[in-house]
Amino acid sequence: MDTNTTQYKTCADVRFRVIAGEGVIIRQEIGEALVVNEVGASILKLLNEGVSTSKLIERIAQEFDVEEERLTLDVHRYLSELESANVVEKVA
Amino acid sequence: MQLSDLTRKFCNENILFSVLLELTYRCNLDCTFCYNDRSLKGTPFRFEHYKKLMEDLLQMGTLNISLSGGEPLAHPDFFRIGALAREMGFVTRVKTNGHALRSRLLERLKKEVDPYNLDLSLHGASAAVHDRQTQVPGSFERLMQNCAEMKAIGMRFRFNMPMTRWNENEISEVFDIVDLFETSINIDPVITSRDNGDKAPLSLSSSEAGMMKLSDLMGKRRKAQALKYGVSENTGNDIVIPQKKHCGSGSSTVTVDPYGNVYPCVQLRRAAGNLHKQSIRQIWEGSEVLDEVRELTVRVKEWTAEQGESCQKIGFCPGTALHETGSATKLYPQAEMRVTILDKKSVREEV
Repeated sequence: MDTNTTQYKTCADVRFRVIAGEGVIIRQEIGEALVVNEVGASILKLLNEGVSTSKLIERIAQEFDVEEERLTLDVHRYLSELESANVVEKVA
Repeated sequence: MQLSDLTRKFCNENILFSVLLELTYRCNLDCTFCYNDRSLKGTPFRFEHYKKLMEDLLQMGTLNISLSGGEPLAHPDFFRIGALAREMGFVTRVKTNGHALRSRLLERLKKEVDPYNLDLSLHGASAAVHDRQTQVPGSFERLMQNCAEMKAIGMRFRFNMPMTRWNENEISEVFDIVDLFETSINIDPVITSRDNGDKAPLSLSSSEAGMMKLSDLMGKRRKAQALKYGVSENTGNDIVIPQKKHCGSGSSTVTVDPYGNVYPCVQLRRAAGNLHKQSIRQIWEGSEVLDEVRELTVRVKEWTAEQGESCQKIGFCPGTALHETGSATKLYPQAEMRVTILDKKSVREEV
């Protein structure tokens, strides 16, 4: 499976907003609130727009001016963490 | 950063985080101490108005919406409004008496609105007391049945209880109900005048003995919970953002009544504007009333600090103070009573 073409979306019980540059994630099922930084917030915002992982990496690299190879590893690790925490899921 | 730090930041920087929508003042119960002004007139807010409001709030980054009343389910567009809030990704709470929430209506609420939480009004631990306050026979039994149904389908709920002279002797049994449903409760020991100035509900205010009992029971429950779950400690690495204001009234929250009037919060009923005439952003950024209230909450924080530790612990409400005494920096009778109780307890602990 090509991980770069994988598309993720936030889970149905998740509510998310970018407020004053901070990402606020609410997991309704367990009543948990998470706060993510500007980069994390941008990743979730792009996922909600239906952007694939490869496009997402491209957009984040442009927005934050970071090296793409390193970013790819970081984004995959981050998405995997969010998936384990039931914040995002793969689009079937 | 923790969410609690972030909410302090929102309050300090005037970021509209939570909005309470009073959809209607109609209700299927008739609580003796209800504060709503049912004689208020105006052009009712309809689905299209709420749609525009929520679109604006989405742009402003607002996360929380509470659907309240009266009984919010009595609004003809309740389900459309709730479903739209869900679709737009708001964290939605519904403040309801729970009387109508069973079988198909309950399933519909879960499916279409999927609220983060229901805040259910509980008025006692027995039919005799609860029904006396709601003035609807059978309302206690029905609420208990509905709660069991909610629990069975996984609907999240907690209780809200205004403490009165009538239910203050049942607090211990009320906690048994809370534990039975494995949920939590917010007990408000302050009964206020109605929004139209009618002081009749104040005659139901709880007694000093009742407040003392509540304070003791809450203390015991907190200790028991700390033993059960452990108390988290600050690691020393946490960022703690100090809050400059006493509360978020007009700084991170507003309340909208059924006619589109915008208030700093549910207690402080000074209209900052009307949504039939201005957008929420125009009101939020341009209202002199909101500016005054933001300054007022800074002053109230300084004032409570000057009054001492007990005053800082009682959950003093400037809106209630303004409504009951004419000044936001003056203890209203029930606040005064609670300060006295805390002072007495503090002396008792020292002895």
